[in-house]
Amino acid sequence: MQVVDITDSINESDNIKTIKFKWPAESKPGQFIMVWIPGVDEIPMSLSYSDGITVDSVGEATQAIHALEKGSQIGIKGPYGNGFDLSGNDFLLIGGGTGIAALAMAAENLSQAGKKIRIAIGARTASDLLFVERMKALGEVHIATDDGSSGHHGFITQVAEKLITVKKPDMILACGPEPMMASAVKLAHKIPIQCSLERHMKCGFGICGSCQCGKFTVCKDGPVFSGEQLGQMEDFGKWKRDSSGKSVWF
Amino acid sequence: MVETFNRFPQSPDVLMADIKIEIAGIRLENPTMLASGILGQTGQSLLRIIHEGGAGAVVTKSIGLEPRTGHGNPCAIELKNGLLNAMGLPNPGIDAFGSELKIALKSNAPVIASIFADTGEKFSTLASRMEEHGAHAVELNLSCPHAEKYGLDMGSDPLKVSDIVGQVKDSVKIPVFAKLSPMVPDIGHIALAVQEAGGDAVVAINTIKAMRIEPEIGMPVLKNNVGGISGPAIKPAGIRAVYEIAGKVDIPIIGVGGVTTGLDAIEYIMAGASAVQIGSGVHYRGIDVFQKVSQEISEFMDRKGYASLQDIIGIARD
Ligand SMILES: Cc1cc2nc3c(=O)[nH]c(=O)nc-3n(C[C@H](O)[C@H](O)[C@H](O)COP(=O)(O)OP(=O)(O)OC[C@H]3O[C@@H](n4cnc5c(N)ncnc54)[C@H](O)[C@@H]3O)c2cc1C
Ligand SMILES: Cc1cc2nc3c(=O)[nH]c(=O)nc-3n(C[C@H](O)[C@H](O)[C@H](O)COP(=O)(O)O)c2cc1C
Ligand code: FES
Repeated sequence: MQVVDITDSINESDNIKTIKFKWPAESKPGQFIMVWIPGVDEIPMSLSYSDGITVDSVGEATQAIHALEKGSQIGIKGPYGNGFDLSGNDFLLIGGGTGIAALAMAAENLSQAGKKIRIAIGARTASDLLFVERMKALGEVHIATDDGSSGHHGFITQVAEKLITVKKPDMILACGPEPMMASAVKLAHKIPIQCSLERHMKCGFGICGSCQCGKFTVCKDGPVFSGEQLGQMEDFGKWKRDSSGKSVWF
Repeated sequence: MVETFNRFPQSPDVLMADIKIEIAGIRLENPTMLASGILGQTGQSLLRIIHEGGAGAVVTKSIGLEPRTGHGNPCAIELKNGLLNAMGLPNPGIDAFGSELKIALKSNAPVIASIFADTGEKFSTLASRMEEHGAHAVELNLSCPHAEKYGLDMGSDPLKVSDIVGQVKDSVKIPVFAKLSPMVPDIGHIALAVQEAGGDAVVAINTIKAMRIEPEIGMPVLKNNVGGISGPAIKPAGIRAVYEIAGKVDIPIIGVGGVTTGLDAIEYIMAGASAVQIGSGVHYRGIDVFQKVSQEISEFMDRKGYASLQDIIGIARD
């Protein structure tokens, strides 16, 4: 656990903020941290920057993160998890909702390495779209919204399907709601794919078993899993476990 | 030439040490078991610990009658020489756990069901349910130090311990293990109560009450303030507990606390344990810690010329 100072809080949309902090640790794209908001809770957050997280306010802990100001302190455990395998040359990234946060650093690394990337970003509505400008600087961006207020009217996976037909990528990276990732795995068919999963996390470092998905722990073996591993998890796309370990269907 | 691991270092007719062991009629291929509460909440995970990890047996997460979410986060942190946790016995409850146990039972290794409750009657109900589900033994959690009413609150009074063990023994045929805490004035005395009530084995130790305060924040880090420490830091406390228990009882002892290497396990065995459980070691050496520790135990025994575990159990006491 390391205590860090908040250096910046940036509004991304009505409900989403990016929090930056003074944290010199090395991390890999796709890794996450456990964020302790003293007196409130400790929750998992993907690193959307090497020194930042991008948080959708959905409950007590995420609201508390939104309320943090420059100079506030939080505790950090990590970086944890495996991160993305960035071997390949022609990438398709599919990000739904805040899922794009987990993909953003991967996109930057790939672009720096001169690899071809297409990025499909989905959200409920135009004002919820995240990191569109940041991604446009790195590759070809395609958009979908549930209400049609920007880009394709419908699912981001429909956009991804078209992009695959136009030209097959040699690697797909996906992060977003699990049903979205489950359909991404289907449409990837034989193209290698990696998905970043979310499960209820307690320890964050692979001992408690709270985040179990199939035989894997999401915090240690994941959060990024290959299509092959996802195929071995009977729960992927179907159910997760609540904080008591009971199964809850998506 | 690439060196490969050779089971027979000198020649094929030099026999490797026998690390099989039998505890209360339960046969283990090796003396390492998964400790309760570490990756033991789902059937798939328990299977993996057996198949990929090489555990001789597995103990499930402690299961209660009802689902329970446990304490809030932070509930586990890494310290310099150990882990501090206050999970607070989260578990899906006995009804939901039956299907997990069925999956775990697909392997050939024994599956020991850990249970917790606040009365002997409830312990008995849980034990019977676990027996129906097919568990090879039950382990009574009389030692968790951070869940009020449960664990240590049940296990610090020898009369209560004897009452609980007695009631459970009356309600099941499978072996009954009792897991004890070192946080009592005389752990040997409690172990004796287990033996006299008919208990089949003693497991020691559970985590030791501990806490961490973050100076930068001025607050305890754990949401529950107090938790239990495990890992290398507590090994000497575990060895001491097993040594004292071995002086009081004849039933088998299973040593737990800070085992990460074969030599750690050997220490427990020399203190009087017939087998060891490993929890935090999974964090320090990976899921295959069981395989590694087993191999290190055989290597040690071969080097010293011990033929079987029976030759070293309790030798530090003689
Ligand atoms: C690896 C990983 C990376 C994540 N990355 C991001 C991110 O970049 N941006 C983002 O906005 N969100 C991310 N999340 C989700 C985020 O952790 C939850 O939204 C947050 O925990 C909600 O807490 P709350 O108290 O605000 O809401 P609550 O009201 O407590 O819960 C709302 C929902 O959040 C989930 N949740 C609550 N506690 C946990 C927990 N300890 N572990 C996992 N899920 C929990 C549950 O599904 C719950 O139903 C990530 C989750 C994981 C597992
Ligand atoms: C995260 C965690 C959860 C645990 N949960 C339980 C539990 O449910 N029941 C139990 O009897 N012991 C539980 N324990 C205690 C361990 O089984 C073991 O007794 C203790 O950790 C010492 O062994 P170790 O040093 O090998 O970890 C838990 C320990 C840890 C670290
Ligand atoms: S959160 Fe504890 S094992 Fe993953």
